[in-house]
Amino acid sequence: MELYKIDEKGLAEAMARVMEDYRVVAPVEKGPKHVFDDIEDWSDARPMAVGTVLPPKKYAFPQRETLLRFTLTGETPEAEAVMDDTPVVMAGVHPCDIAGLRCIDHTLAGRHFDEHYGARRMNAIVFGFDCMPDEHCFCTSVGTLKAESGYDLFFTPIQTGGFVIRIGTPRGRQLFEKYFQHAEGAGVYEESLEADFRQRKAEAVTAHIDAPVDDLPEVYQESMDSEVWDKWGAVCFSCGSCSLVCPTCYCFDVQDRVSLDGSEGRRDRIWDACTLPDFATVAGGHDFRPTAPKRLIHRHNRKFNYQQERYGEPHCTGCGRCGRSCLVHINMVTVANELIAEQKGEEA
Amino acid sequence: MKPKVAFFSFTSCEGCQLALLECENELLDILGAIDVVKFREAMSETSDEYDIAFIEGSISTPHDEEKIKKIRDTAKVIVEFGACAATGGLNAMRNSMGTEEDHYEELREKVYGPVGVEHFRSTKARPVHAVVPVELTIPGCPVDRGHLLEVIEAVLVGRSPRQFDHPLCVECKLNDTVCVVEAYGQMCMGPVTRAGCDSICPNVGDACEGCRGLLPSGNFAAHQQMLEEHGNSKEEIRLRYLMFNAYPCEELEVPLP
Ligand code: SF4
Ligand code: SF4
Ligand code: SF4
Ligand code: SF4
Ligand code: SF4
Repeated sequence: MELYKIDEKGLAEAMARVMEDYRVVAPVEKGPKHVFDDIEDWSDARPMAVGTVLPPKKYAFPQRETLLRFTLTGETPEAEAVMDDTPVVMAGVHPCDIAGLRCIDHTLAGRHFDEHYGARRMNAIVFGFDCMPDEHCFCTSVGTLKAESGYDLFFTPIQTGGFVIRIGTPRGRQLFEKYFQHAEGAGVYEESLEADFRQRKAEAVTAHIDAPVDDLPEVYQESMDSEVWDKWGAVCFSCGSCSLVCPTCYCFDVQDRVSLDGSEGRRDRIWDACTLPDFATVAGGHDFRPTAPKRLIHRHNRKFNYQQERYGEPHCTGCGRCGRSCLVHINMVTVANELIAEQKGEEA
Repeated sequence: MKPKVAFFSFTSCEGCQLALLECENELLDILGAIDVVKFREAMSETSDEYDIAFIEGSISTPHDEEKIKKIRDTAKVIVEFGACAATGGLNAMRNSMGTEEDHYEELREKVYGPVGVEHFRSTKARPVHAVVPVELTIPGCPVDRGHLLEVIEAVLVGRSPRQFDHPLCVECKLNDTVCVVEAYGQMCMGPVTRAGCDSICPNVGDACEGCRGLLPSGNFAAHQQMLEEHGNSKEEIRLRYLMFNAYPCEELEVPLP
C-alpha cells in the first residue's frame, strides 16, 4: 500500500479547502472535555482528542431525528419519509470509533437495512486520526489499536512532525488527490513511519482485560449468576449514561408528534438505553428486566457475548466512554476482570 | 367541541402560568384548540364550567384544601402544573420548620408578624395528589415549555403523554452536555431527578437542583455517597435534597444523610 505524508501546515491548508466544499465536523473543546461539532476553522479542531462526550456515531444515527412527516387532513393520512444524505466529513475519528461504526453497520446496515441510517452513513466521510490513550482507553484488549479499514483517509502523527496518510477507499483516494496531494509538505513515503507512534500508543494504554478477547463470550455465559452483577447493580443509578455514550449502542424509541390543530405531524426516533429503568417496560406495565443487576448483565453481555458471538467481533471497542461517564465507576475492564478472576478462582 | 380549560393558582409564585404565556409561537395554536375559561394571569372573564383544570401551587392551608376538593368535583382532568403542585416544590421546605398542630405558628409569626398568627392558618405544604387524585403532572420550577406543549398535545389527541421515568442524565447525554459532576465535581441532583426539562441547567454548566422531583426508582444511597466522594458534606447533601424535594423525600421515604 502506498503511504503519503503531510505536514501540519499542509493539513490545515488542505482542510480549509475541504471545508469550502463540505460540512466538516471534528472534536472541539467544551469545558475540560471535547465534543464533536461543526467547525469552520481547522485551528478549532482537536482531531487527536480522546473521549469526546458522544462518539461521531451521532452523525449517522442522530440522538433525535424525524423519520417521516404526515398530514391528516385528506381522506386518508399521507406520509412522506424524511431522508438526510448531506455529505459530512467526520475528522478525528479514532480507531475505536471506526470499529463502533462497523458494529452498528452489522445491525442497521446489514441484513436489515435502515434507510435513514444508511443514507447518512454512506455520506459520512471518515477521516480517521490516531490518538494517545488516557487511563480509560483499552483498545489493545479488544483489537482496536489500529484501524485496518472503515476509513476514507487515516492520519497518524509521526515524530518528525506532520502525519502519515493512509488511503482506505476509492472515495478517499479522490479526496486525497483533490485536496491533499498538492498541499505544502505533501509527499510519498516508501515505508511506514507509523510503527513508532503505534508502539508508543500501545505502551500508553494502562487498562487491560486479563483474558484474550475471544475467550470473553464464554466468560460472560458462565457468569450470568455472578455476584459481581449484584455488587455493581447495588450502586448503579440506572441513569443510562453508559449506553448513551457508547459508539456501538443503537437502542431507540419512536414517538409521534401531532400539531395542536390535528392537521399534521411527524414521527421521531430518539435514542433509548437498556440501562434505564423504563426501557424494558412493555404495554400493560410489565418490566422484563426490572432490576439494575439484570440491566447490567444485559448491557455487558451485548458487548462481549451476544453480539460478539453473532458478528464475530466484540461490540465493545475499548473507547472507555462508559467508564468516564459512569459516576459510580462501573466500567467494562473492571467488570470483565472481576468475572475472569472469579472463574479462575472457581477452576483452581 | 374544544375542551374547556381552567387555570387555578394555589401557594406559588405564579411563574408557571407565565411559562405558558411565554409559549409565544404556539400560544395562538393553543388558544385555537382549547377554550380558556379561567385564567387570572391572562384574562378576567371566568366561568365555573370546565373539563380540564391546571393547578399551579401547593396545597398549604385549610382553605386550599376545600378549594381543590371543589375543583376535583368539577374537573374531568386535573393537571399538576409546576413543581409546587407536583411535589410541593420550594414551599415544602418549611414542612420541617414547625408542626401542623399549631399551624406553624412560630414560622408564621416570623414571616407575617402578629397579623399572620391571627389570620392565616397553615398545613403542611403538599402536592395536589396528596389531597385529591390527579390525572396528569407537569413538574418543574417553572414548567418546561416543551413538556407543557407535549402534554397539551397528548390531551387534545387523546393519548397518555410521555412519562419521563428516567433520570436527567439521559438528556445531558442526548445534548452532548459535559457532565458537571465528571468535569467540575458539582453537586448535581440529575441522577435521581426526573428528566423532561432537556437538562437545561447542566447545559449551561450548572448542577441540577432537582426541581422536576425525585424519581421513585432513584438510587438515593448511591447518589448521596457519590456526592460525598466529590467533597460535599452530609449537611450540604441533605439541604440539596430538601430544597425542592422535601415532600418527595417524605413520600418516597428517602433516607437522608
Ligand atoms: S452509567 Fe453507571 S450508573 Fe449509569 S446506568 Fe451505566 S453503569 Fe449504571
Ligand atoms: S462499552 Fe464502554 S468502552 Fe466499550 S465501546 Fe461502549 S462506551 Fe466504549
Ligand atoms: S413551580 Fe416554581 S415557577 Fe411554578 S409556581 Fe411554583 S415556584 Fe413558581
Ligand atoms: S450533569 Fe448531572 S444530570 Fe447531567 S449527566 Fe452529570 S450527573 Fe447526570
Ligand atoms: S436541570 Fe434540574 S433544576 Fe434545572 S430545570 Fe431541570 S430538573 Fe430543574
